[in-house]
Amino acid sequence: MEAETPPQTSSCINSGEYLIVQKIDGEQSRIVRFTPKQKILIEKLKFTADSAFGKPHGLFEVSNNQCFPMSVDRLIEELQLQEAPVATSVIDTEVITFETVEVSDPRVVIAPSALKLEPEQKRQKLEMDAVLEMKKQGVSGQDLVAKLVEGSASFQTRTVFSQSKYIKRKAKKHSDRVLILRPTIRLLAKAYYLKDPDRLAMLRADQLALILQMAGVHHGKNVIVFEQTLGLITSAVIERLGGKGGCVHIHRGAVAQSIPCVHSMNYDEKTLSTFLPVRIKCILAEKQLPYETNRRPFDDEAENGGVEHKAAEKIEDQDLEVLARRNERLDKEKRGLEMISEQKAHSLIIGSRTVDPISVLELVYPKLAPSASIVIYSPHQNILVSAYDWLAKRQTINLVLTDQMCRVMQVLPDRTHPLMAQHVAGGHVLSGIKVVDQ
Amino acid sequence: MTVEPSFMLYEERIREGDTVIVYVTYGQMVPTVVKRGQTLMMKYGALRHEFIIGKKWGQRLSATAGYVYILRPTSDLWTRSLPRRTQILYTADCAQILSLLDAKPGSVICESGTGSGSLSHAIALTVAPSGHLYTHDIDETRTSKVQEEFQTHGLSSVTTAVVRNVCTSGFHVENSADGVFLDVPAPWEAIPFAAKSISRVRGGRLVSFSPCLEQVQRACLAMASAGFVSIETIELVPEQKKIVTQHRQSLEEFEEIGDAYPKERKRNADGELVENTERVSTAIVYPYSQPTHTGYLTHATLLPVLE
Repeated sequence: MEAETPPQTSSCINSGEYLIVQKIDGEQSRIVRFTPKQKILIEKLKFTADSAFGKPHGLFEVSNNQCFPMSVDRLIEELQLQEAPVATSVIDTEVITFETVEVSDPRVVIAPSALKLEPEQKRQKLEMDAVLEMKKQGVSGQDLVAKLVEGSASFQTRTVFSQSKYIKRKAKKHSDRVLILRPTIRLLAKAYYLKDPDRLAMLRADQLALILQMAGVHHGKNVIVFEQTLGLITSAVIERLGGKGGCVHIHRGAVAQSIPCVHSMNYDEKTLSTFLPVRIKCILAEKQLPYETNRRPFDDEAENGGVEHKAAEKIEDQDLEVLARRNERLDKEKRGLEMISEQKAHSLIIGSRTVDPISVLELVYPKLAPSASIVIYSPHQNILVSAYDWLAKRQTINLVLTDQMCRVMQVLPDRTHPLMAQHVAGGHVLSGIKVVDQ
Repeated sequence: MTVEPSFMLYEERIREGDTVIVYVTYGQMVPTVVKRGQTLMMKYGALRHEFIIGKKWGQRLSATAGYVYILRPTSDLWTRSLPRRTQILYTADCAQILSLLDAKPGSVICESGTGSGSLSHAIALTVAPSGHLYTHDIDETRTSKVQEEFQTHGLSSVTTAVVRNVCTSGFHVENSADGVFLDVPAPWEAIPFAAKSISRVRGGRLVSFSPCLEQVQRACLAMASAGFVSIETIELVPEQKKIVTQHRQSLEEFEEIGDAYPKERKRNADGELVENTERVSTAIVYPYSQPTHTGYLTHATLLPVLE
């Protein structure tokens, strides 16, 4: 049985689209807007954006500055080859007895010569120039690794596990496989976190997930967001609203800025209709303020009296466009402000980096609907302790402060353990529910 | 036209038929369907349902022996208060699973097993109104119970509960899902079926929850041979904290009174009560004993098939 398929967007890569680029098992993940003639760079791999246009999202092979779609089956074969030394060293676990296991497991026995330590360079017969030359000639990563193994003096003396590790490390370094994917909140969160956690207030993807769940963000909800996380929280809320409800985004200045995560999700108009940017100034004044502006579209008309007709028309068109955009902004802002003043907001999310959450609470908390969820994220625990005291004095129930560790595991047969080191910077999440007396 | 009660209707006031979460204390929350003539009995005595109808969500109400709060159900509150028939997934894991599945309104998600429906509710609320949840369990009593709950909670139109062993018979839908979640004892048996249920043109995500590393190892191998990429295993360890006020004791004070807890107010030289200002709020880990392991979450991507 096949379920009804929901309406879907084009499955091919289009010019102007934001995309996530990462190497298979790579350390980095980049968000790039693919435009014609653009060079895409990822961990020393380079290709032109044009070579990806019209191809479906997924796995690519890079060679000669071009990328070509590649089947996953081939990749899986290659990955299995990396495990080959382990797989081929025959070991029948059924027959191993306790006595023999210490000495006879061929995978862990260390050859005596391996203990004679020599500098890494001496062990590798293949010169770096030769490697670079091979790369220039377009030798595949796979063949390059085979050559490196051949040239490695120490390879045969390694344990089988160590051989597999060696191959994996080299394969990763010389891999020319990239994933080009449509952005998702999960991928965006990871990419920005890896790039510069500080600008994201150390917000990890797992904590973002927790914030959304604690705030109960679903289709049709009204959510107020104040954040300093590059638009990540706002964008995640917009996605979960799915075109109904509202996400009031409280921002500084005249126009919401520094929110790349909202722009790079390629949202359609309907989804974006719930995005309601509201100026801090208006929240402070408790009413909608007119735009202060130097441009006066209608005064220009008079001045342009003597100018060529065509030019005047052009300016007028531009002004009309600016005016239309501004009116749309004002409309959305009005909706946002009404949602606050009419006490219709079901959730408040604060994700602050420098702003004290209490100064947001003072303005917004009294306007939340009763039973509203409040979720505050901060990289600083003491800031949340103060916010906790503030909320506890105002009849907020179910107050919980949590911290969490997200541990990544290396999973390989007989070699499974947590990673030796990983990104751990993060913050704390405070949540509660507003209630009223009477 | 009367609108059926639903977790996804955000009316200001409570109506008959609504599911409310009665908040008694931090540890005690009781979900109740409001019905005239019924009475809720709990720690703070009795509360007649008549008193709940027409009240605002989030309002404090007097019972015969104390106060309670009537809360609007959310995915998290449901998880914390639902009638448990099995071991359940808690909010930290549910949140992470939704994110790993890239779940959003419109997603088609397959889940096995249903259990007590904690994650099922979280998924249904996230994919509504245009997506769908297919939840599978081998136990008929579980699926029918959860189906009843979906009915009461206004989530029937976005959910289908099926009695089925996904490890032997696969999923209810094929070539349709955007995400598959597995919480089964032998996930490696279900993984090839999971790959089949995922949409070929859109590709999709797979998340498997297993308490033991041995299960994780076999699941990872099965995922790789079923064509999944970007396979990663993570573990979440949440830590709950409590805010306490802490007195900053000086050495002199300690010499004088020992480590006895100092009074919040003390008398000054004139005999007046003054606040002891040397107090700071601080967070401590509490309760002292907390869950440190629930399960490993292994997640992977199935890329769209090239034509």
